[in-house]
Amino acid sequence: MEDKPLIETRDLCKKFNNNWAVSNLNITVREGQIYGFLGPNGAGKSTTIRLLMNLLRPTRGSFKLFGQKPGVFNKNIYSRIGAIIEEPSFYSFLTGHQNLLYLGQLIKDISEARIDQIFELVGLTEQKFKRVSDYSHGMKKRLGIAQALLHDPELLILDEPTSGLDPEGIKKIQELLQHLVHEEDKTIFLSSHHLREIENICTHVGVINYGKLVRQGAVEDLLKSTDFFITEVSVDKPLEALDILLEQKWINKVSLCDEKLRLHISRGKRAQLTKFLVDNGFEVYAVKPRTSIEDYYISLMKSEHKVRQ
Amino acid sequence: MKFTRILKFELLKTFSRLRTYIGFITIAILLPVVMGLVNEFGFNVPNRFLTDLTSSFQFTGSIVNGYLISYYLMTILWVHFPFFIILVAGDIVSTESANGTFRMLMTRPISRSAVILAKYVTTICYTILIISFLGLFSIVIGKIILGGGDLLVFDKGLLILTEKEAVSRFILAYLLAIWVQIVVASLAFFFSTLAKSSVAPIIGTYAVVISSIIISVLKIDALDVIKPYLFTTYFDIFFAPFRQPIPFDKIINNCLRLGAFSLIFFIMSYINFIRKDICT
Repeated sequence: MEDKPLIETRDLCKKFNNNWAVSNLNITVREGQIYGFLGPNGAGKSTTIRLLMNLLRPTRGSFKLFGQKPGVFNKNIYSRIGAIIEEPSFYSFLTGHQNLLYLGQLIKDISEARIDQIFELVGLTEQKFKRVSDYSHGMKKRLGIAQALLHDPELLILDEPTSGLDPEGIKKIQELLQHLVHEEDKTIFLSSHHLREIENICTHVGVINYGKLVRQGAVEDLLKSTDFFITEVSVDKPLEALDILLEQKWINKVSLCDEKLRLHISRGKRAQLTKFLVDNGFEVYAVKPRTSIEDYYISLMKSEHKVRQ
Repeated sequence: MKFTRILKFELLKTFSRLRTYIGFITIAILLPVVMGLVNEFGFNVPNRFLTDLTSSFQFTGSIVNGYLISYYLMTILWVHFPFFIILVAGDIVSTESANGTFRMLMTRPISRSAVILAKYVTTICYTILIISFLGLFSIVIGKIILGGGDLLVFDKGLLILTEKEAVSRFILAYLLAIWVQIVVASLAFFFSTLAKSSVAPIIGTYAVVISSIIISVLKIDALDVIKPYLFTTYFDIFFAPFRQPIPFDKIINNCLRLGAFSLIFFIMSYINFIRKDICT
């Protein structure tokens, strides 16, 4: 049986002045999916999230959350969602604890034990009684995640949760997301510029550009449908192999990473590659397809750009 | 239940901010200074009041006491005091737009109606508190520094009120002052729902109040056409309790008009907020 859709938009549109920020958007996020929402700056990702979270009114079209249309009389749908929309902004004159307590109480009764647990989870226990004005950017981000998780929602909508963080902060938040996915079975709708992040944790992606959905589907299926593959090859003399392969015009790109050769070639040329290396006296230990969402996304954006031109 | 929580949160936010206390601090400093200076250097009752009376009465001793100064201090409720109301009411919605906290607040399972209503109730609470504080503090500090006694009111003639009666008239006057300032608060609140920063509603409301007061007090016949439509035309109602007899008909009439202004400003705020796109 197919998992039920938690987010479903139907021809969703939003117009600002004369500009369509979102145009006829049809996306579906099902229970258990980790849906990565990709697109360049100004593509309409944040506008879509704001529409879903009822901060903006759609110009046309509609959407359903948990199979229901949000409205005045079923606001409680939002108690099943935890969200971060762009930069988390808190009441800076209140402490982190006060912010969580009062924002959480607008959803349901929150125990002190739960607040402590969440502060522990995001690593802010020592700062919980400090005013938010004294928090660093990374701490505010983590507090943003804390407020989104506080009421134990089924669906998380996260808009660029790691933007502006240092590498350590990004790693911590990515680990936290991994934990939520694998240990707590959350459904996550995640917009991000970090393609590696999307690649690491997402099961599905939707690509938006100029307010329109360009592609949507399971990561694996999307990558299978493209000819743009990365192949990782382990050989006995990688440096020498690199020199030879760099001269080959039928190979788009080749690099050496952790003693392994990374080649941009189409699927059909993998056999030719293996033969070529063996014929040139190399011992080939492994040939592994390593598809990259990053390359897929970049090639997709390039083709979109060409179509527009 | 949810509304109570939203209201509690709004009250907490408002009363956790320094700007909420600027008015209270100003009153707490200014009034004792004024009363102290009057006590030290005296107070000249404007001659225009006394000119007609000196031919009929002989004044011995001092007519200046805490009540008289408190009565004179009520004139600040016209132009100056609204600033403290506007400072908070003009900020209460716009600051959330400016700081982006609406993104956090409005993604909770709460209705916009409840949020705007809670913010309005908080604004009214603040207005009631600060006006009550002004009234109470001016009378108490006036009595402590300058002493009590009968209140002599010079308006259309001389009205002498006993201390007990003066207090009851002050209570009525300050209740009316609250009603008047709620109109100012409602206007600032409306502007606050329109703006994305706190400065614009504060300046905008103050500009409207000042302009309206100017038109209301100018003795130009041509302006009589628009005066009934300005809320400031009914502002002086808080002085009515110091007339004899108290013009209750006029008070009720003006209160109804002022109430209508407050209601209109609130309805406009409500509609605007409900339809508003939260883009910040």
